[in-house]
Amino acid sequence: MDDYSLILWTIAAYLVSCLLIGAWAASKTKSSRDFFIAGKSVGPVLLAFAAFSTMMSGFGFIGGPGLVYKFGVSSFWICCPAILGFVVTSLLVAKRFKAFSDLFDILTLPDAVAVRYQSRLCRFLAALVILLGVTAYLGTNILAFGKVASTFFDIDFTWAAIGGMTVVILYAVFGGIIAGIYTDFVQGLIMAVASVALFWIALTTVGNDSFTAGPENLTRAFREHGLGEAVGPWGLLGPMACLGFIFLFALGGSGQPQIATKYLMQKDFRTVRWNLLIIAPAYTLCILLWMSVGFAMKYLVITGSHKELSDADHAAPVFLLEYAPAWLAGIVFSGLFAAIMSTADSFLNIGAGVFTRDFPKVFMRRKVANELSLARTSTVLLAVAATAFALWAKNHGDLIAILGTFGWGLFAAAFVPIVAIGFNWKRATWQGAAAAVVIGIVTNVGLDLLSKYPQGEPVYTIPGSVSIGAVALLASLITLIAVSFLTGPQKLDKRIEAAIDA
Amino acid sequence: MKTLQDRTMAAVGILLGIILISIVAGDRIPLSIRVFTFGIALQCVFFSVIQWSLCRSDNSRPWLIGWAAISTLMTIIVIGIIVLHFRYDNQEQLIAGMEPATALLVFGVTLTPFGYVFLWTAGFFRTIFPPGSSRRLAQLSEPDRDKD
Repeated sequence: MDDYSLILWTIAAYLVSCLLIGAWAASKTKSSRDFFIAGKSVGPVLLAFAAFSTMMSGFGFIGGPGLVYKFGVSSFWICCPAILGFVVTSLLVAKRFKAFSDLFDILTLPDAVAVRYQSRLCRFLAALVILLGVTAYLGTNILAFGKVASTFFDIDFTWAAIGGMTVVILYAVFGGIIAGIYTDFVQGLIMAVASVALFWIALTTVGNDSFTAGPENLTRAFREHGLGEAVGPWGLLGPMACLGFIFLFALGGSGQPQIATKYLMQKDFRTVRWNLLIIAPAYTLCILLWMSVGFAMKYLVITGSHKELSDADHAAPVFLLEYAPAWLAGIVFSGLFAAIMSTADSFLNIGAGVFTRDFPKVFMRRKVANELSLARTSTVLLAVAATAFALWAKNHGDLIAILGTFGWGLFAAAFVPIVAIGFNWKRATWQGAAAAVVIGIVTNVGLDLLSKYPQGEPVYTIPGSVSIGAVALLASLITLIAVSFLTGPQKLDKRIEAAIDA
Repeated sequence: MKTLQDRTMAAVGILLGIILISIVAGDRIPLSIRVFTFGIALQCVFFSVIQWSLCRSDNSRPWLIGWAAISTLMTIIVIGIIVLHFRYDNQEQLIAGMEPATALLVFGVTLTPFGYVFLWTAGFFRTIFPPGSSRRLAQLSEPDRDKD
């Protein structure tokens, strides 16, 4: 069997196992509670892997090495503080969400926001942000899947995207979030182990068969080729941009609905004690891949061993195909496809919640009768609409670029203030929460448009290459605090007070 | 601003404002001052938010000091990276094949939060979820459910 066939069979076997997990999960999904929060039955190991796999999705394995290839050490400031991010998320979100979901009927993040602030406007704004963010994330995931699959299998992009989404629809409609959580677990396990192997291969490639000589060879080669700054502590983006990354990625994680809603699924909060003990080492192992593969590929290019890549995001796929053993490439590619698909599944699930739970409660002021059927129908419609949108937007590169950068920053700017802070601070008011969400959206979209349009000279760019998401998060946090102090304390239900005090 | 929570949030708001100014000011303020301001204010925000979210009880004091110590260590590491960057001029001096500041980032920023992980796990029932919290929630959870 040649290398390509081996990779192909590994991917096929893995995708079939994902579908089998989906079929098994379908038999466990009997209500909207199962569909959205896995019946609140998720134990500490699954929960930890689901949270970590959601964070280290396709972006971590393609985008991360791509950023290292392009900007050097700057990219480390996204992944290195991630453990701090998980600690902050656990402290600010895990216990509060468990407490609120024990006291109230909460299946989605806007459900929780509506309960905390006693406000339909806040629920509507939270649902709107989720729809915008989910569209952005689904669009980029579908494009990523289409791009990788069409290149790898040598098929048309449109058919690759449609094929991938068909599998995701089957898996998401029937298996709900239960299917997503179990495939996240398998994906996370594979990625953690594969990362160690790839780290070893990357460093021995750079070190001319010596693992320990790798980093020094790399540093010296970069300096000799005038790229010394790329291996300095701030990389090519500079210190302000890197500090902005810590702020956005360590604090911003606590505002990501795909992570926060995982904490609604916990069976018993006492077992969450073990979560960080699982997440931290697993994530640290995955960081090894992020840090080493992009640098190894750049080293090979600058020393003339490999031709320049047409796209920085090709760093990981090219390294896998040309420098890693076929069996390992097959496993990592399988994990990559699964990561993209399980991320799409998570976002479809969150998006379906908006149509099933939030819009009916905002516009009709009541719950719908058969939530599970509506959830499944919404999932299909959302997936079809997102695929059609992604295929249309494929020819409008700027639009997808805007949406792509939008996702994490938008969720962070909108939800860190109202969830991570507001669920811990009694004085936070519904007016402050609503204003923070609006400022988060406006700052994100506004700064993005100003930096890209009109064509030619941008109207405004943030000094020091600080990311738009970091500035939007700062603006929305300040807004929540200022408006909450100005509008005075909101009278809280005793159960809400108890959940905040717990 | 009667409570500790309110005062902490007011302080966090001021720190965030300082960070925002250090970003938008651009070249009007020297880079080294902006970087120090951003770095220190950022660590103070994390420090405040982390200490603020921990439970306080009679026997949690040693654990709270532990959390504060790790936060202080993180702050020292970030400041260390900034100082090393602005003062580093010995091109031959490498640690584990990396510039000293890069090595501090890779090993310090990545591994120090494991201290938090230890404190979270070992002190879970002292500072995160003391028995009083679970009892209060259990008392409130059943009777009024589903009335949102």
